[in-house]
Amino acid sequence: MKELKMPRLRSDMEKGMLCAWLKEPGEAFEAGEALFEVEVEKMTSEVLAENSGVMGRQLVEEGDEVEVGAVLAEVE
Amino acid sequence: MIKKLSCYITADTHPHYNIAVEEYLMNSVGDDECTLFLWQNRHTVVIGRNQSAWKECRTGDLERDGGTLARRLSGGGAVYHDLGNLNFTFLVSDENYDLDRQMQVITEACLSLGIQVERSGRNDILADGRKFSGNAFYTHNGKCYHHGTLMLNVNKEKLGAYLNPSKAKLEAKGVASVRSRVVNLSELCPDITVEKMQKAMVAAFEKVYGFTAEMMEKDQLDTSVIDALYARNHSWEWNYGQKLPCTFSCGDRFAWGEAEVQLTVKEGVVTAAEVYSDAMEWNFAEELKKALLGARFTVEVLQEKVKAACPAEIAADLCVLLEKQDI
Repeated sequence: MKELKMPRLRSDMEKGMLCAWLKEPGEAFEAGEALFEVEVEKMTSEVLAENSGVMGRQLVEEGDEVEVGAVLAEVE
Repeated sequence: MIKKLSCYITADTHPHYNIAVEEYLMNSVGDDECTLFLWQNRHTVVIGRNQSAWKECRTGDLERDGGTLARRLSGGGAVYHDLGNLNFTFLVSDENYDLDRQMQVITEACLSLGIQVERSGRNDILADGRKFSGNAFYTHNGKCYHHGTLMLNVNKEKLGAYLNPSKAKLEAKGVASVRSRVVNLSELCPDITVEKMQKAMVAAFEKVYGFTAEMMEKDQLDTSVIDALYARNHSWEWNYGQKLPCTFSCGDRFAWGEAEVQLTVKEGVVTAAEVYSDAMEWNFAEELKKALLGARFTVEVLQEKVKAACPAEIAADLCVLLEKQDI
């Protein structure tokens, strides 16, 4: 089990809002597929999977603002 | 590396269409290209990707006045557009994105018209210490855009009227708008026009990047792709049916008793409802609660449900109450 964390998308980013989960728990994904969408400082971005895997338990709800490095979900 | 500039200036003013063209231009921009898109929306409130329409805008007033609500793909807050505003969008692939350079185009264009401007933080541009340009950003699939407003002669009265909703009892997850002191560039440069600003932007674009821009015509665009994006942008579900939930409540005291309705709305549909009343004669609360579940969150649909579930006297009062909510 690995942890999916809020990435630092800009050098000065401290927090980001998880706007939307793009994979449901139990859903398999390949490297390069979009996993979730983040809004920070008026920028919306999709965050892509670095490796293939399966989405596990999601710990953060859509609309929650969390700090960089916060665990968002478990992945297998 | 950018080796080619292109520019598209549209005469279309429908926001749902223009936002579709913007997305199309982003998806089709070349790896060595930067496109500048200049566009205007008629009488529109544009909300950010993760905002609640009802929370940010007096949607009822806007629609009654013939205006349009539009949702953009980028983040940030709600803005009012009319034909006194010129929008710009820089569209590039991720590796060619250069915020400082893009911002320089705007500052150079203003300077060429004799207007001194300064950047404020990452997202705003000020003239005379007040904001005339708000900027927002979107990235998708290796492409991105940076867009913003250029307030030349926007109707500030309408801006204030639509962007000040009174829905104290609506709470929504998502991004809240931040109000700023704004200025129209016409206050600083009385003879400014949209055409002059367009020309100044194209000239500054070519100066900053060091190439001549190829001007695009409408018949070069793939209308079938744009039409599909327009259909999404034009849909009620896209503009109002935000994924993030919001809660809404309203209530009042009437001749027959007190009533309060509490709703949870997700993707524009009522997903949970509670109705409280101390009315002694009628037990309508349970029926109304059931009727409201699954209803689309619009005044008309909610009123239909109220009329179907409540005795006439109560329905009449609740319908007036809903009308006042400016949903």
